[in-house]
Amino acid sequence: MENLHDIAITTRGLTKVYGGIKRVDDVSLSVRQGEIYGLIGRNGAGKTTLLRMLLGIATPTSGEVAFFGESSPHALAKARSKCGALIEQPAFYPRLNAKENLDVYARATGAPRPDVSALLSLVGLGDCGRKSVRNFSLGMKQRLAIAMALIGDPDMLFLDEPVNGLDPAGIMEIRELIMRLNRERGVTVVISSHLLGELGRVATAYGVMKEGKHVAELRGEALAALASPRIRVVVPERERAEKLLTSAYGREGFVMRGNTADITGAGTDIAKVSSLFAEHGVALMELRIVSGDLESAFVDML
Amino acid sequence: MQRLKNFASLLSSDLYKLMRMKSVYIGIGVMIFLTMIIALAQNALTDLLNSLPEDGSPLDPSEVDAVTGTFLFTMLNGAPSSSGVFFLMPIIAALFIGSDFSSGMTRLFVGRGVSKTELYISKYITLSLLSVIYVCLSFAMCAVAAKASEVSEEALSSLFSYTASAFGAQIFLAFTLAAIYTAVCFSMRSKAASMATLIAMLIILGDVLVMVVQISLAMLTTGTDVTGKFVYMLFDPYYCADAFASASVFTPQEAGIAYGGCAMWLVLFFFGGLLLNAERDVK
Repeated sequence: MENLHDIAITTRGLTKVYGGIKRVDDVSLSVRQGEIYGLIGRNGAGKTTLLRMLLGIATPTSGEVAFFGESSPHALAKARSKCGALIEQPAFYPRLNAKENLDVYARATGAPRPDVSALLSLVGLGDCGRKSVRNFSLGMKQRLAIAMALIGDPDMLFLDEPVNGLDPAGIMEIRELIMRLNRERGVTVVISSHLLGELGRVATAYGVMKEGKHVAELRGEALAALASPRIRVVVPERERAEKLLTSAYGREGFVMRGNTADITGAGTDIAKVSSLFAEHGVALMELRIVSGDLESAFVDML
Repeated sequence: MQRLKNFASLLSSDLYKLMRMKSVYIGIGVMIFLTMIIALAQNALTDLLNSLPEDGSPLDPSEVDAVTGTFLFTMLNGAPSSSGVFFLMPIIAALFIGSDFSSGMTRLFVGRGVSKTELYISKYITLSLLSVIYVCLSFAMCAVAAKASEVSEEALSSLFSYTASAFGAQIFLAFTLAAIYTAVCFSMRSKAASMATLIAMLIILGDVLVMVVQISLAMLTTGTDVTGKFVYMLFDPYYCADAFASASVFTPQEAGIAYGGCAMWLVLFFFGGLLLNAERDVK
């Protein structure tokens, strides 16, 4: 049983309908305090819409959002005042420079006046001078958006594709920054990203979105199991192999892609799998152990 | 208390942003230019009138005063219209509010717990303040232009006696138009759409509608006085922009319709925009 005080965000039956289509469908998730929660899913899976509802930018058609167990409008507004966000694309006033943008944003949101220079240095924009933001590169805009999200020492960060447009060094810096904020200040982070490999390096829990539905939530042991080694078989006769694997390991025990099956239910007992196929006269073209790979496992889920 | 402090902070951020907008200062430049043009035109008119008599004898100064006085009366007591305030304000409002939507900043503010209602009210207050400043500036500029004109002291004194009531009426109108600008910009949620809609409203409601009603009334009531019916056009705030120049000579019925109409539009647009904005998701 989870302690309610450890839960930073919960949603219950969260649904959003746009133009008669359910973009987010009955999503119930929980994000624990101090967690880095990776939200994954294909384009159009509903990740951004879900983040928009969490932040109050979009109103749910039905369902409820609660921060620290509180779901009243006043409590939500109070909790959101301590949330930093980067949603969709970076937002800023193009004619103002980086410092002015940070200043206007801090004033507008009632956040304490930030140490603008320190904040800009933190995201690698220490030397941007008085250049208008409209003249920034995509990566610089992304960094500024992250600096804006960090104003007022937020308790929670919502980052939608935070490394879009960044070069490899920038991606590494932002990753380290997120991990440092999480480690040193206990900031809870919700990140949505297409870069599963990158997300895999920082996230401590995952929510998987598919066609608007929240199909899985993984953390701890479940996550470790997903990353454990598996046995890969390549067969000439897909139907027979699938039938055999279903009877032996159940539908959840393997993932079939074309003529290749990844068996997770058999541990690493390759001999047992070999015998199984031999006993039932199902031909094998290839049989081997492959190391655990979160990215592939997630792709299977999507 | 904290909420009030946060709102004051939001308002200061909007004022800061407005002060950094070049268009605000360009607007003042345009107002000065238009006022100068009108003042020069007025002086040219006076010269023309003085040179009119064919026999070379000077025109009766009181006649010249009467003609140029009417010109000056319209310029001074309708100062915001004379110096283009009600044409400039929709452009500035669209740039000011539209940029928050176009840039995505509204999304960030709301995501930080700033309510949509607070954003709306803050923008309305900021635009009202700018409208009032522009109206004051326009009266100051037109007053200087009138003083510099070549009309008698007596005629000028008579002109200025109407200015206080016209000024009060135009200030009231500034609040109403600020409500319209805010509501429309929050409904359109982009710079271009807001600007196009506001300018279309200015042209259609302020000019085309007035002209159509004038022509229709004249055609329908041939031979009768249409003034009594036309007074209902005072319900149109855009028409009021010009009509308020005559605020001091309004009959009680006309004044009631003009001020009542303005108050009605202020309430309808302000709360209509507020409710619509509260209902919709942030773009």
